[in-house]
Amino acid sequence: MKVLIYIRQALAMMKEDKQFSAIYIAGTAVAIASAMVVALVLHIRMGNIYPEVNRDRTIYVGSNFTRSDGEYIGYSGYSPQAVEEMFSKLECAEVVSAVMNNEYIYRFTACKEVGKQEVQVTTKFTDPNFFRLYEFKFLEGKPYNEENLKNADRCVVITDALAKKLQAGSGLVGKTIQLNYLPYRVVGIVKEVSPLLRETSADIYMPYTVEDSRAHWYVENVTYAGGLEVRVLLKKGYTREMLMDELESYRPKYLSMLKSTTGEDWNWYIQVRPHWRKTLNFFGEEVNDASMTDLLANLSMPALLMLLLLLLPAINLSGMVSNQMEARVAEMGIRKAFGAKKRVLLNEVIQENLVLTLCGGVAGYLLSWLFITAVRNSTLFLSMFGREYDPVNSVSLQLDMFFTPTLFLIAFVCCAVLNLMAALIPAWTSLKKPIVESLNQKK
Amino acid sequence: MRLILKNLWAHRRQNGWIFAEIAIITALSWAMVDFLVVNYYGIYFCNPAGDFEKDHLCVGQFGVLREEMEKTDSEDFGEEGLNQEEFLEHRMGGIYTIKQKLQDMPEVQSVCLTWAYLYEDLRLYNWDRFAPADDTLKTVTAACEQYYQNEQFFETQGLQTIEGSPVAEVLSRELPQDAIVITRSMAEQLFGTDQVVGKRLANVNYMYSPDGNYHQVAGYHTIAGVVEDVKGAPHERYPYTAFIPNPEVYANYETKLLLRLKPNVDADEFVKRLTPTLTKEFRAGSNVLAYLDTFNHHLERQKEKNENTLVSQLATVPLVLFAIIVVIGTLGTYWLQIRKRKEDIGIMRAFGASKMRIFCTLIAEGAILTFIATLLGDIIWLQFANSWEILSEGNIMSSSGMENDWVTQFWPHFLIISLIVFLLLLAVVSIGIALPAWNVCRRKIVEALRDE
Repeated sequence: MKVLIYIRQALAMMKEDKQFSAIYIAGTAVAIASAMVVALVLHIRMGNIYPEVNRDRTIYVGSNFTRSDGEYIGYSGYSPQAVEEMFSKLECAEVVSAVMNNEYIYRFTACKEVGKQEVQVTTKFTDPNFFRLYEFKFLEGKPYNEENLKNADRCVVITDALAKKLQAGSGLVGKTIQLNYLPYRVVGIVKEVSPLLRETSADIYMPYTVEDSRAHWYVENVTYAGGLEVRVLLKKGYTREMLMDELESYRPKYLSMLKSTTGEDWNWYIQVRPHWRKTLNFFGEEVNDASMTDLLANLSMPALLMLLLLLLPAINLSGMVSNQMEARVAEMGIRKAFGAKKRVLLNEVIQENLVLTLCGGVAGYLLSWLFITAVRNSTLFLSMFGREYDPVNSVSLQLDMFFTPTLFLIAFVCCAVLNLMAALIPAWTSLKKPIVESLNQKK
Repeated sequence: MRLILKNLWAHRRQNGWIFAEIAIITALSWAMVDFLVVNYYGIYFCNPAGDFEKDHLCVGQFGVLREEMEKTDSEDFGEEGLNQEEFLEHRMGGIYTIKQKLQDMPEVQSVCLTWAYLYEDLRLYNWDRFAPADDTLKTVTAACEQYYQNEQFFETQGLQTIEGSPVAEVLSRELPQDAIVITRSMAEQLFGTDQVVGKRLANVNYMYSPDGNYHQVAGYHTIAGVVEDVKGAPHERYPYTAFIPNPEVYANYETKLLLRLKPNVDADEFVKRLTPTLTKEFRAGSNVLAYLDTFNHHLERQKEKNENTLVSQLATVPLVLFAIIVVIGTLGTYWLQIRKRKEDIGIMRAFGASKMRIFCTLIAEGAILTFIATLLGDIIWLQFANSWEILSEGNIMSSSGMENDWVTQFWPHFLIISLIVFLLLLAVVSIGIALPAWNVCRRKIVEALRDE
């Protein structure tokens, strides 16, 4: 009931002083919008978003082989042999997928036929499990299979956006398109993934054995080293540490085998990173251990930035609340004279203010969406997601990037913190005045 | 002035908040404004005298038709018994046919195949350190462009030679193996004069070791020509650029196309007309002209990808945010403050003060408040700037370290940037004050006095 009174009081004040309310809400909106942009960027990088709906259970496994003299072998992934021998029998894995690490090497153009308008496309070289690990929505057809991977078949899965760009019409599945002037058979069409999701987004997906890419996953003698990044979807209840234990069991066996074949001592670093660790790294590779403490330490940096973004507008709002409290000194004096306690009055001021702050919060939340939509094609924004500016294709956004309960909670917490920062000091300073002095203002 | 100061003091509690905010924002935004000012100074105020004409320039990239290549490779390699080098020349021979086809077009003035051209890739442009052969400590870091000889490179790129240097047509032909062509400013910085043809340049490598830096001569060049100033990238401040002939004789996979149109031809129209049928019309053997664009459009795209653009955007976003925060802050504070001062303003008007005078008084209040707050913010920043030596040098690679402009000198640099920060904040604060001030000035005297 008390809340209703505060709301009624706040609404009455808003009606009475529309200009103040409008400026206050605008100030709050800017503060919340700037803080929420940070939260949204973080969410897009770390949250569960189509088709990466299991990011919290996805682990990325890399490797690093070095000779005894410290020389690095030059491959940060695994070979298909390692995928077969090490990863296919993991107890804690629900799905294991191998993806080529080097999509940046290739520049592909696509067209319906040679001589027709060409489109620059992005590619991903994967295995069929890629479409099990990530929950792609197939609009037509299906993924390529193990047989296609084994035979290095020139078959591809493309996005609906690319199909539209190629002006291929419907029924493209089963037909061929030209990639760098070579024919490829389309086996499936999936719903487009936003380019902001670096691990899964591409225009075209194809078996990693296709083309000259095979040269990039083979290293002489060190048969486990290659260009494939292994992605593991953990079964529910299993942890990264359990996966590490399982992988570690392969190390002594393989290293002794390697010594017998090469006659050299080798070091093998197995890099096991949860999804968040791949996208959030403020303290360098050595400092991080991907534990919960590490996660919190990494999250503290954007949290500090958000606090700073709230602090500056809070100074503004404090100035405005201070002005407003000046006008209400007499009212406060009378209430104090009739026995109202300072704490109660302070509580009232803060809660009345919260109503205004929440209005600004809603506007700010909307503003942050608009801002992200407006800047989504800019170099700066794209660089936050490891992407380059693309002058041809506009970056698509997905609804699940903006709407989640966590984001609402963050927005509310931001409002509450901002409200406290803005109202506490001026209200307390004003309420500290002796009753006589306050009543004197009534004259 | 006394009245202004008196008003500021009388409302010190409310003004204190906005004062603190301006001071904090000054300290926070100083480095960002510094970077942007130095960077834009380089882009817009350090345009070299010569430059090159860009409006009639087009750029292109070749592609390889792999299906065609697979078909012909086995025949050529086997039947004609070519060695690896001859085979590559044979495989890329189509590029010359395509070039000739372009050359024969009536709109085209000149075409050249090149290893690189100016502003081709703003992320990866090369730079190297040069010094006079007899004084290898006096170095200049310059952007380096490699080009193929006998390809009309200098004419097509649009480089103007200076008096005393061989003309562009001569420089484009085959030069001695150690030849180098440099810009006028680079010549003057190294030798004190632009008449340097025939002089020797050392290519100097700086090595970094735990005992300190030392330098090593990697090779020598003879200056074959001097061209008017051009920069290696638009954001470079000093036009130190060197052109080095590439010893390669035949086109390869890295070959780019540079094309200059006749002065009466519209480059946009030309590219628009050719693009739809480019891969069909311009193909020979396994080679194809895969991409053709106007230089200006290509440059725009390069700028978008450039790290300099990224850093500029990174610096601009918080500045815009700060500006919005200050506008809302001053707007809110002064709106409420002026409302309480309506009576005073009414009395002033009644005693003959004009609307403009009252408006200016309020703006002056904001100016003084901003000046004092900015001064405080500058002093706070100065502590960092002094001890960390972090005055911005922009995002440049080409430099000699001997330049003597305002950017390289501490106090002129600090004072100019501080002044710009003050002016920016003054503009922002004035916007915040102007609306409520104008609102109250518009009121009739009787109405204003009614509040009294």
